[in-house]
Amino acid sequence: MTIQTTPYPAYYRPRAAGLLRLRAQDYRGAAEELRAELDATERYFTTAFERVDESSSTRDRIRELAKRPTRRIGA
Amino acid sequence: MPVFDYSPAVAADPEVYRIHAREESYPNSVAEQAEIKRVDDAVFDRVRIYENSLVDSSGALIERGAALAKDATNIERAVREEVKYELDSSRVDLKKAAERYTALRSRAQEQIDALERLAREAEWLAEKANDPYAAYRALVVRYPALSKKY
Repeated sequence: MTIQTTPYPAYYRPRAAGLLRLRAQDYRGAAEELRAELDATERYFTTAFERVDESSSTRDRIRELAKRPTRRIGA
Repeated sequence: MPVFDYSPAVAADPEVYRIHAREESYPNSVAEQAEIKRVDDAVFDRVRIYENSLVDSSGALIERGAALAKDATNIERAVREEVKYELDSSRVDLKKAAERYTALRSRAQEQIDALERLAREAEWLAEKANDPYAAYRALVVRYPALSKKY
């Protein structure tokens, strides 16, 4: 016959464990929000870089190219 | 004075004492009930100490978490207001924005790592807090030096 012992009368069990699980979710959520903010900011950088590229006029580009050292084929 | 004295390998698990107390022969039921109660109370007193320490650790963890979450909010706001909103302007200084973002990103990554570490710790503690008796048994079986005679 299996001997049955009485269960330990825990004081805090459901409350403490439940609260900790909730907090764990909060911490993961906060980390996720921060990560999402970084991703969003990097997308803003992409847009800003594209804007700068588009705003360079043909004249700016000609000027930039003219500043570069000349390279000739076979030189 | 303990009634049962097991070898360390067996003695580590307090459940063994409790079962043994129930299996022993007694002169009468009063003596039996008294001995079972004595062993149970002694075991539960030890578990209670462990349970209280779990609750203390949980409180400390939650305090650390509140501070971390506050820092994370501040960094998030700084990224948004000092970099993201700036990038929306056509007159943004991209070099400055990149420098500021690089610094903030490094702090943010540290914060993300710390928050995820704390979440894992909270889940680990929650598992123990959910069943302090089982957690205590597992602890003393793993580290028999922590066990005692009941």
